[in-house]
Amino acid sequence: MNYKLVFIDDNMREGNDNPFIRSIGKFKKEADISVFTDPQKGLNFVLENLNSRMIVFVDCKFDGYGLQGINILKQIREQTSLLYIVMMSANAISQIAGLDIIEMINEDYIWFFDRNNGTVTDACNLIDKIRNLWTTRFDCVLEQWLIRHPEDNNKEAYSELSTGKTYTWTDILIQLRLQTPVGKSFEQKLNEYYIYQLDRSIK
Amino acid sequence: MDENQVLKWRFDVSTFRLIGRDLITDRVTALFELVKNCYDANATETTIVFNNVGLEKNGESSIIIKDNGIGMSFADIRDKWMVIGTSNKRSNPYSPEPFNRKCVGEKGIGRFAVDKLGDKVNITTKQVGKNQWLDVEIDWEAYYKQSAENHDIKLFTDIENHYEFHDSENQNDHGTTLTITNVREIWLESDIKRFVEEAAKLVSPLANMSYPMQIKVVAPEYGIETIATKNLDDVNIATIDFSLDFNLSANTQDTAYFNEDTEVIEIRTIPIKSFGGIKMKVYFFDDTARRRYRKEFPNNQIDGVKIYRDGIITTPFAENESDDDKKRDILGIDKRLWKDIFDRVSTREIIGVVEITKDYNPMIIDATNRQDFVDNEQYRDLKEFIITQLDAIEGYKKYSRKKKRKENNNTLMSAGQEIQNFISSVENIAQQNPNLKDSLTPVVEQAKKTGKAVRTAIKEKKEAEEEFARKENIYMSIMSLQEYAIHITHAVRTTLNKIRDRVEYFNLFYPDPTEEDIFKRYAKEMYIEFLNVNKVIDYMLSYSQSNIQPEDIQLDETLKEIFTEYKPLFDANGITTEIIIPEKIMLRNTRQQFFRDILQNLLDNSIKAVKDSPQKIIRCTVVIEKEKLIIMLSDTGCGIPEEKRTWVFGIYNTTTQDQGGAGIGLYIVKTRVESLQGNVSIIDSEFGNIGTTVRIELPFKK
Repeated sequence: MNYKLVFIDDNMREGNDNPFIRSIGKFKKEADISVFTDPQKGLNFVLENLNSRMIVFVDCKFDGYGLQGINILKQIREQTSLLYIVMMSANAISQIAGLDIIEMINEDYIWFFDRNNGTVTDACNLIDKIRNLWTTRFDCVLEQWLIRHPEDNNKEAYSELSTGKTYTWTDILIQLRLQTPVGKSFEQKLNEYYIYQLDRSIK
Repeated sequence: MDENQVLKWRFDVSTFRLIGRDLITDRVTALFELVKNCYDANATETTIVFNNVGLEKNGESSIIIKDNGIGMSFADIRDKWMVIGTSNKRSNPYSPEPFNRKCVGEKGIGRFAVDKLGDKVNITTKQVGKNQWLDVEIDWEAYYKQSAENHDIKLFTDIENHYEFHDSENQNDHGTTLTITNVREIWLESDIKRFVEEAAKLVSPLANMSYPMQIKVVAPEYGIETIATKNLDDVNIATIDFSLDFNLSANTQDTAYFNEDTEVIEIRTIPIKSFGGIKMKVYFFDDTARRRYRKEFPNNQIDGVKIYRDGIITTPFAENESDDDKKRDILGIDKRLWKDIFDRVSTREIIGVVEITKDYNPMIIDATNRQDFVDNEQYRDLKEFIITQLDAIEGYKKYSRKKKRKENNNTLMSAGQEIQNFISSVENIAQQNPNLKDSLTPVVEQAKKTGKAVRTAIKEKKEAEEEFARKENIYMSIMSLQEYAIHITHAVRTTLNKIRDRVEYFNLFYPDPTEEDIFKRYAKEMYIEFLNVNKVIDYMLSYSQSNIQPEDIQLDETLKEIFTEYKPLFDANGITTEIIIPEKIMLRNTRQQFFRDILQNLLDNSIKAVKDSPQKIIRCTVVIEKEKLIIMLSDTGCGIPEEKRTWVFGIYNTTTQDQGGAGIGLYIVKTRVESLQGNVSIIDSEFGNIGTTVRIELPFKK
């Protein structure tokens, strides 16, 4: 069960040799880790890989860059509301601007990691906590299913009435991760369908 | 389609009220909305009469709003006024020719305002040239009663309202009168005064005055009969004032600053800012002027800067809060007050009018809650610009305070001298008239005692001033230390975190023969970080060991020393430095610590400023011109906008808030330079179009 861990932090100049990153890499061997010190490059990478399962650690403050942690959060959220984001800061949370905190609280799937007091173990626990959520999420269940049943990957799952466009299960997974209208409506319809089916079978 | 398959929206009277009460929260605002409608209808005179609206009622209560505007036709009433949710003004934002006033009541909520004020309204209206007046009666209470009595849902839209026409004596009469009876809430004298105050602000005295509207407010039970609208002459009792304009074709905006040499507020131009060109007029009232203003305008308060759009007050400023303390300070002028209580200008001391237009300032947008503007970059810039302008007045205030103190000193000194003269004169008289000697002796004795008391007073005053200066020094030291502590803790913490990550790695994974190189590398990096922490702590200790006793200093050496101490920081940030001192300069009986404070604060600023510059240079030049020592510190950083060149020296004024700047550095520089009897200013950068040059001038004798 592979997933991506992305760190965007201008202080991690050593890249994968940064001791914090190395430690996490040792504990989370199944993770594919990327480190970015330039916030724009990090954001580009995340946006290009929205169809993968990913946890993004973002530093709140980038000295000398126009793009700040909160902007990265907003720009990712413009594309998808599903991605898990961990905001990191070496400053006390009380030093972060009130409006930024409000923006963070009002988002889904967001966590905070205190770089001063949090240990590597804390970071790993946070990663585990997030991964536990994956087990019930529809896109993750589908991904697991397709790993176990590769023959289903290219089967037609859905065809859009208005356009006649068809989607395979692999396509649907991408649409879900990108939170496109097709992805969202598919998930909703499927849930409604199961409720309907279960309801009928109980009667 | 079959009639049975059609559904219609219908609503009852309470729905109407529900919407109305959400839109209009208080009665002053409600009445204000109706007055705005008069303005939009090209009225030049509007009279508001309150009858029996107080606690002691001597008859039927009513509020009459009478204007001489264009009036409404029957079709206007039927198709516009009586249709909820329409706003004619939305499609036609200007009032009819020739006034072409920019409409105010864009939101079409006048009808709700009427309901807020009273149960019953009678509309009498006529357009010019028509020979009949139209009378319409609307009784909200009757709607309620009907629906309550019938135990039946009575729909608002089904109720018919009575109207009639009656002949007019004069075909040229025109206007609309709203007579609101069964006034819903009690209006106290203070409520009416509050309304007068609001109405006064409806149209800016600075607006195009070709077609002014006069608002008259009459309330016989409180003896009120007043013209609410102001004109420019009403505010000429201010202590000082200044006006700013802009020039679109030259792309320039005026900005004000206080010139200490000429002792007046002067205007210079800067490029038009992000929010577009604005006009601004500010009147400052000192204690005396404030007292006079209160006497002349008992209904009015001096209440800060208001923004007018196309001549009309913008909604955030139009609604009011009766409690002064709670009064909204939208522009954040008073929020800064606690920081420097003596010289800050508060909203209680100024009346300001900022003129914006929809065309030139489209990005200044009223927020939907009507209590502020939409928070965008342009609005933030506008707020900052307005507050920067107040700095000119703060400069004037500071200067006046100093001048007054000096005058007081002189008066006290001359009083001492005059007593001496008095004693000599009396003694003279006594010598010339020996018979008066006995009577004059007690006078001389008394005068001598008074003279002694004055001398003691002068001495004590001098001591008190010295004590104050000493305390101010301590205060400044503590503050600079606080800023310093923030830097130091941040530096120490960053280093400690780096060490912590490495120690944690050892703790978790050591030993591991396959990673021997990594462990060695981390050990080395930790050692380097320890050295860094040591350096920072040494630097901190050196700060505490200095003293502020007068001493002779070798300026060139002191400068070099400071630059050497900063070398690690310069190196870390890739900064090149240059010191140009043509000769050895010895300063007698001065304070080494002051020079350190000045230089360190300037260097800290420059380091921050050059952070994002492609070429990072800091250059210090010292020259001697006649009896002056000139120190110039220049950098290739982001620069300081021209209009902020004075402002940045104020305490807590910073252009680098995002980088942790607290706005103390340049204040310390200014106070230190001043205590060395010099002056400091920001001049055009030595590097041309980039960076900043700070010029310090100190008295100097070879």
